[in-house]
Amino acid sequence: MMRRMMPLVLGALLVMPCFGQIRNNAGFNTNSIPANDDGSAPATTLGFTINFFGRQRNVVFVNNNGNVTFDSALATFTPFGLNNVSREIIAPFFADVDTRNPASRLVTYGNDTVNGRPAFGVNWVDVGYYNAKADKTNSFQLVLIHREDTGPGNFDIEFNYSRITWETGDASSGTNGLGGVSASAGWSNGSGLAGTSYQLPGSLIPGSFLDFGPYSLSRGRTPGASSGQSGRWVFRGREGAILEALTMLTGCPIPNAASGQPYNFRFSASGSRPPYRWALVADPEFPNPGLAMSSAGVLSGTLNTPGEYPFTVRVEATDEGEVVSVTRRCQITVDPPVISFRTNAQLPPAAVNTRYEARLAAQGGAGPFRYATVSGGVPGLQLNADGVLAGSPTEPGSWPVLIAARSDVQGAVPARKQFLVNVQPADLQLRSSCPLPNATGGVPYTARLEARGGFGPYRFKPVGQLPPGLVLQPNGVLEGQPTTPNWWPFEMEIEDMHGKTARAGCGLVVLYPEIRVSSACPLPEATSGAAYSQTLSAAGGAGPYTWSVVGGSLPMGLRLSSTGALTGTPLTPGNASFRLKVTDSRGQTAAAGCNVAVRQGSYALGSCPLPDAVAGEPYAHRIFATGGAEPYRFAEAQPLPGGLRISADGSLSGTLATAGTFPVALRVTDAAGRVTTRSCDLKVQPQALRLTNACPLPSGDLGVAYSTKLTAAGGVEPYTFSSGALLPPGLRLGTDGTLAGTPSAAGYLGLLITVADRGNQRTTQLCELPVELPAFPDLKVTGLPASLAPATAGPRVSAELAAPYQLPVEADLVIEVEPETGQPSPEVNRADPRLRFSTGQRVLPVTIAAGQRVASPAAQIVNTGTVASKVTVKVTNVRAAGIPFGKEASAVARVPRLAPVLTNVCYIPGTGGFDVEVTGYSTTRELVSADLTFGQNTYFVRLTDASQEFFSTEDAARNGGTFRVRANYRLSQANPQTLGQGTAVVRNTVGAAASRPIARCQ
Amino acid sequence: MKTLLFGLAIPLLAVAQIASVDLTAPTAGYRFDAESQSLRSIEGVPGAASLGEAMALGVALESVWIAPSQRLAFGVAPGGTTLVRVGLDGATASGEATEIPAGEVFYSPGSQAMAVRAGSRLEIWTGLASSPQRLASLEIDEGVAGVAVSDDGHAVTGLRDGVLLRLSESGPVELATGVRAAAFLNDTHDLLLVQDGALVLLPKLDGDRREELAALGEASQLRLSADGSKVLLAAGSKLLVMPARGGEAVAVEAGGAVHSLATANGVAFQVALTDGRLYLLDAGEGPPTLSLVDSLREGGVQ
Repeated sequence: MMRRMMPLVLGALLVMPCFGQIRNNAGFNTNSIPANDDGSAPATTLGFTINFFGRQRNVVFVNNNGNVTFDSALATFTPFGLNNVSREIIAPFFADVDTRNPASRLVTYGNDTVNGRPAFGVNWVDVGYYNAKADKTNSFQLVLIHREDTGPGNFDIEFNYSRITWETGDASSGTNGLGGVSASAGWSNGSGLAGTSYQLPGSLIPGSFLDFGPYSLSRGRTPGASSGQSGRWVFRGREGAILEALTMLTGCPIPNAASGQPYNFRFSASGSRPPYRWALVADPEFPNPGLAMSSAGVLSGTLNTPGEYPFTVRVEATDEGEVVSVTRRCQITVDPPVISFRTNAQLPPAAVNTRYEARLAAQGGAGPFRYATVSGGVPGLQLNADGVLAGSPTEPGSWPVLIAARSDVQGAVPARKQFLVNVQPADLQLRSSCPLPNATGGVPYTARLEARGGFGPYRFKPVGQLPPGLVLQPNGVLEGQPTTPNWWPFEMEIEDMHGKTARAGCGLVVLYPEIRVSSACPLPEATSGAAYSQTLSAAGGAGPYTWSVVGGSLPMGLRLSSTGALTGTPLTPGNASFRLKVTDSRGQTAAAGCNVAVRQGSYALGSCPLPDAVAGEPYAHRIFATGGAEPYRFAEAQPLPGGLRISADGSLSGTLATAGTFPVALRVTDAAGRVTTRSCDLKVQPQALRLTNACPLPSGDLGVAYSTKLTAAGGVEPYTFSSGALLPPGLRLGTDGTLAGTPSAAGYLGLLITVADRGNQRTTQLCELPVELPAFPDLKVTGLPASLAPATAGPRVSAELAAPYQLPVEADLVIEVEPETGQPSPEVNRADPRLRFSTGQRVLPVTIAAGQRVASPAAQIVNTGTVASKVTVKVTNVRAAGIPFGKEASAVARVPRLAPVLTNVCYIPGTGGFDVEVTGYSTTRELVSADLTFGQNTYFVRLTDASQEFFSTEDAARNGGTFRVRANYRLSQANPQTLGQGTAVVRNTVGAAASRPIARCQ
Repeated sequence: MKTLLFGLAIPLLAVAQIASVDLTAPTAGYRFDAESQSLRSIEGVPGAASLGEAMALGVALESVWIAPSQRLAFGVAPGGTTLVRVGLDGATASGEATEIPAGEVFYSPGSQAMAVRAGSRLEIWTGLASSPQRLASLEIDEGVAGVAVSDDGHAVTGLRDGVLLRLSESGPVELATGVRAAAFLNDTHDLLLVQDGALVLLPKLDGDRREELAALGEASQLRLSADGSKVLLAAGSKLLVMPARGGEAVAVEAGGAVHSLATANGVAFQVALTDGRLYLLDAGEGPPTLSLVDSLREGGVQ
């Protein structure tokens, strides 16, 4: 007992020396827990109130085993983790403290001040471990400092350590104070919620907390603590929570970088108070390898040399006016580059004798890369150091080539890859030019066809029909004697030595053989005065043939027809030479000279038959004699018909007045005085029958009595007149030629007139009779009011005559719209295309029936549109019976410039806001602003610029003055789903639309 | 300002700020165009509208059902076995595949849920605006037509030979007879019916609380406006507009036999006649007005 008391007394009198960070406040030794194992002090007042995670605590239980609790005393001796417990606990060193050994000091506690602030401290100084052992002792301290200066209930927690040499009691599987379930340190409010507990790194890990352990408490400190005081851990309780200290979360070493490649890595931290400020720290032992650290924590840069690069990084934060920081040494490893090919192993195909180029590409590290062929290759292609494989392949086949890529970067691993190039043979095809040279029908022909590509030699085979008379040999020779002139396309198949085939087409023209005159010349002899007939012949070309004499002259009395018939009666003896031309059906020609001899025939008068005469028209004909001695003298043998005479040189001429057949007897005397006579009949034809009236006939008037007389001449009277189906309506044609009646149609009317004479000779003529219209009355447009309300069905308009007309009147009603929005821009000042008739057009044909005044039905203007305009309705193109009158009339109305009209206003709630839609029209095609009111708030929206842009578009032009304004609002708090009712007012330069309630859109 | 470990954040001041404003041409709704296998927007506003060109959806569709909100649609591609979801925003649209089995689609009035019917199977899907989730899968008689579903997806009805049935996993329950059309009101289980020539309200599908709102004659079609405030009925060539929960009905002559009704933006409706003409009916302030949009080609009327 005595021994137990002494430490208490001593603790009360002596001033404790300062070990490490342990404060030597005497007040912390005011009370002590008697030497014990697993005991606790009675509930003790802190002397102030702290807000421990929402609970106001001013009473604490000091427990022997390195912790204090607020809910009740804790006798547990084997430490537990502090992150998932149900106790309110602050534990600087939760382990099995045992103060029963005389060499161990007692646990003391009490009130004092720290930096002028009330504080409660607990000392575990030189304390031993279970089971009553003190060969190793620990010294640590808990101080709670009242920080009401920062807010009610705020406080600081200090864990102060001087010496940690044991970590576990014997009952917690420890051996000589080490191993087993080792100590934990930290705090918890017992709720298990995130942020309500903290456990120092190294807790429950044997060896960690010892003085030279990896998480030494006496040599560590609160990460980020501003002071360089090892052995002190400070936590801040603020507004009911304990703030996490600044902690660098990123572990080291960081991920490797690749040589020559840009590197980018972000460091991260937590705790204390962001924002964090990052920097690389100048460290003589570990200079910066050439990377940059942004203040946001991004480490970046490009390292070209492989190797390991240590560096020192620091993160800072400003916490309650002081700067806290954590510094850590770290390392980055730069891997040497590994080069690889980006190019696919299968290179693009090549073709024999065709220019080829393929470019290889490597990657990995910094270039440039050097390329070289290791083995293999393509005949005709070369690889350069830049990786270009080029040339002109000479042999077909599949060619492998092994290629290496290197770089000068130290340590770079070169790449090797086998590539494959397929070289195709050239395409098998016909090399010969087509079409082949022309052939001529009936003339022997030869041509040779040649091929290329593939693998020779080649074989040829016809496909389908060849030109008739020709054959195609397997060696490509086309030969024979073509029979039929024409254009002859043909196809063939070419086969190379490997059996690959290709089809090709060609053709040739087989010409016609040359045309010639085949008749024998001279022609057989003719006799003057005797009939002669020969038919000429031609060969070659294509019949039928056409003949003509192109030089010299035929014997008098003979003529040559186009079909080659040489006929007639030669009149005088002698030799005649002439040149003949023959032309075939294709225009091919040939010419040849020819001649015929005419020998003397017997003496005769060649006058019959005489060609016909026409009564009343001059007649002339030459009389010939043959067989006598020239000169001849001619005379009448009998009196000639009235009006006819014969001259001494044989000219028979005159004008016979009467039709009929009359004998003509003539006499000829030759130079020897010999006389011969002959009599022929002369037929006199009557004069041609014809109408003698001028066309067009004299004009008439519609509805007015008309009469005219038709006359004829020629033929034999009397004449009989008639008309066919073509007769102007209202008129009759009498057989005597009287055309009379009352015309019932207007215009240039046609009539067909037929006149017949006594001999039933007939002639028909088409003539015209102009019939003119009566005067046209005035007309006007009806039904159009002076003013039109926008966006409504339009009026029914019509055309009206001042008086009925005898004929149906046709016209066009036309709507012309001139915008009057007042906008200076022509893109905006555009009429509404919807303003039109119900047919969808702005031109509507109408008809006013004969005898009526108004066109029926009236024309409906389907829509007045939504743009201020001057609307003109015209009646134009007025005509009757197809004849235009050149009259017009019009009426004008106006769609006025008005304030906007709203047709629908609603809102659509969304996430974080809502859209308001306002639909309507503005006849001025412009908007100034909109006011949208919800509750007490009115939101003004300026629309001038947006409406100017919108109404200039083609989309808006199609829709006149209509618009939809959609305004999107963002709300931070109010629930957009429950905005309720609002109102909208929209303005243009004329005025404001009536306010309209805004309800929710459906 | 401190941020504590427990994350006790101090509330910030509430601020609303305009993040963006944009002006575009308005659309009043959409129509399916069978010829182009795509959608066409109705450009403009009621009284000044026209049918736009076929939209580039990125996928051809052989059937499309457009949601009353006019902001999305679901359709089926030729030969497709699942629905394609089409997002609609003015003149732009985009399609994306879903895993929802293909079938006829019936939307809830607020476009928040839909019933997809394939044969005798009816699937209820919710969350259409963001991420559709299947809420229930029912087996129904193949003779059931005119399906209606509430915005929360928990109430589903159908019609069979004029009998109104409540459909659920436990089987159909008869609610009323003589019914020609039915539609839920927005965000409720209140059902509007066209029953025996009258417009009737069934609050919470409770037949004991049946309330007759108006006499209708031969009305056979019923459609709610997109904002849920007005109802449009069609009987032959006559249209009736009235508030959704009763009130004065205003008659409008359509000028032709009505083929179908559909919603447009706000309080406007699409009215398609059997002769191919398409109108917009504006049931907003003032008397209802009918304005011609276009004449649709045959097969283009939905």
